[in-house]
Amino acid sequence: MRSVLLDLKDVTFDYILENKQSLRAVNDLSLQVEEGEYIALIGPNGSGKSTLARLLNALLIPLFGEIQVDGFATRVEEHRWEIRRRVGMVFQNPDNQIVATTVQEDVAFGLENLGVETSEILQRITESLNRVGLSAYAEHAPHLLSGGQKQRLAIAGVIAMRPRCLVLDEPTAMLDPRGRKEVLDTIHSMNRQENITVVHITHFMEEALQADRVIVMHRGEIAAMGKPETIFNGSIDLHLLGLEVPPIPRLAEMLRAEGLTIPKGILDTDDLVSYLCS
Amino acid sequence: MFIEVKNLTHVYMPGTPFQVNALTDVSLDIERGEFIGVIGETGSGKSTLVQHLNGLLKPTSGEIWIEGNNLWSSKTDLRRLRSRIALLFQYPEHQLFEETVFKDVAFGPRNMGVEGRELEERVRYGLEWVELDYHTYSQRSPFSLSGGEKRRVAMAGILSMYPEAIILDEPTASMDPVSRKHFLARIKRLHQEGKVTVIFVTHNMEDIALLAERLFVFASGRLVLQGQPAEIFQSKETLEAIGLGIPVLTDLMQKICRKGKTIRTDIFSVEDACREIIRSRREGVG
Repeated sequence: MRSVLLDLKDVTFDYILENKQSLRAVNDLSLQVEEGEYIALIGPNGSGKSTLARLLNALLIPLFGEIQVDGFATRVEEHRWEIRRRVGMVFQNPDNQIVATTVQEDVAFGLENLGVETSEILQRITESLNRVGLSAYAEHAPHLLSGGQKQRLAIAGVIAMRPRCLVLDEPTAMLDPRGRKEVLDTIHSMNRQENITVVHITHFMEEALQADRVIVMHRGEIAAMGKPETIFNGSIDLHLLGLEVPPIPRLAEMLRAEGLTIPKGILDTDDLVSYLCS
Repeated sequence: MFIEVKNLTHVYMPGTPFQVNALTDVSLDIERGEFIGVIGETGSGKSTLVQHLNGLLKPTSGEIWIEGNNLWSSKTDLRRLRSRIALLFQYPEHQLFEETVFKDVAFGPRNMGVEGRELEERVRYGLEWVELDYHTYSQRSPFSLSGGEKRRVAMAGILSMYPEAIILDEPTASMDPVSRKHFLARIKRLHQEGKVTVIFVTHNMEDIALLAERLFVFASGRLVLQGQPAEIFQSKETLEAIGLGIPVLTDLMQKICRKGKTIRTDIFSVEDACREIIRSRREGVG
């Protein structure tokens, strides 16, 4: 059995609004994520996904309940460095995450803050840029990169710290199709080749199809959870939860209703093509 | 012709080491009442183009004509033009600056000299269109709103000017699927019932295939393809070579077609795909 990396027990979080009222963002939520898992977190705007992401690396601390990362509780202040070393965050807007004037300095930023030695820093920069496919850009100015390249740079900066888990909050929302593909390929290869645990928040249902497990959030709670083929096979009313079934499983379902023999749980274009053409 | 772009070239920071040729010799026409989609990868010149259409940028060379008048001739009232051809920026929430939602939505029409009862009517119209209740929202500070609400206020501020054309630059990024569908349906209604010309810049091929009557495809500052979505999305290789793609259902139909089935490939909705697959199977058997 794989070990549990993220352990959330009865977690509740409230925001305090300007009129002093509180807004519950996460309500009594429990969840365990295993080392090496790829989780897709979906849910409508305001369902608590981003709050949950920020709770995972102790940017926010639960009002009630407890979160442990690799055994370290986020509530304990002395643990927070250990937690942030293990859980790296990537946000939606690439322009807000870049701090330095060259690509390699940007990767070095986090490492310098951790007090890593210079020779080690140089080695990790090379390694990280290699892994996201940006080696050729080490000396470039980050603002001249494309959107997809900037996001991959953000990922490089995070993986240089050798985290066990990547939490990505809509990392592809602002990218063009090529940029999206680049970033998705990078995230998946981190997961498969390096066994890095991934928590990927997205509004693109197609992106959730590739996950080991899909978690559907609604009003701060987990409304549904399971393998993509279960979540998207039409048994859950996703529309009611502000979401939708992606085109391929939706079409498969519709064709089945028309009497065609197509197995349940088809998510992929090529699979559907081969069933239709066999 | 409503909007004519003639040999438009735009260079940012010319003569400096940072010189960028954002648009090169672009010519295109847009008719009144059209729904236009503009696609292309980041940096291909889409945003530069749309900022030219309402005079926010001045061409390095070439001309923009609006209803037979050169936009940069001395006769054009640019402020008036920007209320007729209104632009919703990529991060509409950054467009808000007033103390209350009312003032923000009223800003455009007020600049056009609208006052009193008509001003209020326009603010109501704008807020109603984006489904924000007038009483609940009009006196709130725009900065206390959620991201989604801010976007809607920005959109209300555009609609309160009763524009003839709206330009939307990636308006749905980070909306959840149901909000996005809802927003798109309202844009469609605005186009159909309000007879508003829509120019829609997007990275979402699925959405634009269903919405647009005509597409302009940009790559490296040049207009490389134009036509109806049905034609444009037949060119999968060309589109992929310039960093774009085709809708997933179109891709599916093309793959089925390549396996030797007689089937239409200009398909963008699940319903049409289902109908066409069933039809093709019946004919295949019969």
